[in-house]
Amino acid sequence: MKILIVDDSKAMRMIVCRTLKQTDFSGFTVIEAENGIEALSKIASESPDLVLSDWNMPEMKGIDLLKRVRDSGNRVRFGFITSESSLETKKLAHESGADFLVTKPFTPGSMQAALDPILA
Amino acid sequence: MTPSIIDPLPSERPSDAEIGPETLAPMVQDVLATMLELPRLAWDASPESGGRDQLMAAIRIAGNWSATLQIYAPEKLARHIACAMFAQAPGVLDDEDVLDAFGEVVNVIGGNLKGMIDQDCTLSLPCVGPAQPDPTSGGLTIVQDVCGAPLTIVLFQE
Repeated sequence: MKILIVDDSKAMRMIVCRTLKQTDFSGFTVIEAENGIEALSKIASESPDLVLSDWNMPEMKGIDLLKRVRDSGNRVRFGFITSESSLETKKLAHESGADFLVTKPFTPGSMQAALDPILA
Repeated sequence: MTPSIIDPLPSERPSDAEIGPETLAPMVQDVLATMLELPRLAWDASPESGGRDQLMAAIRIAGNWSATLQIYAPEKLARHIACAMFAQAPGVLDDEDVLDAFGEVVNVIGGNLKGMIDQDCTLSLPCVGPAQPDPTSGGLTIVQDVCGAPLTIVLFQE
């Protein structure tokens, strides 16, 4: 399984990767992108099975990345990992085709709970 | 980590749109505890040896509720926080990594703050850089003890 982590923060990409390794999931390969443009390129070239994206990024917001992906007909599983956990954010994410939203700061447990229904 | 409150700004606005120390302090404490898992690394208590004295990271919330959130830390603490986030030993990380990690701390606190307000507003991208030795006062100020060093959080509500 290929997982694409999209976040402008190198530290947060590392934390997400480390947390994934602390869950029960195994056998995945991590790909990274630091913005939405790079993510679109890697989605096209690498065909990840799951995209984990930040919401608030320069150049292209995470929600715009999701819309671009869905508008292209790509149904890749897509989740947000974001500190923006308002009801409005969650509603917009769901309406735009996100599979889940994990709130920062997260734990291996909260990551596991979000991914279980997706990767089971 | 033990939070302490310094000179909260007197409130002149409706309570439902006001973040007070009783709300901000536990949220900050929870974020730091979960995000940093400190103490992950042994804290070097030796004095600072040159370099920038203090760093500041800031983020702005704008919309129906507007505020600016600033966090301040001695550069040594910011580097320690970055080491915890990257799970790297001191000396491995460069300055850019430290700024990136410190910016992400204010980003996560700001996002959680925005979520608590839950009004129509947007969160800016964080900005990080050197700070004056004494943080600007006038906002709601919380000092969080992190490994024996002060992490100062200042919230200016408009």
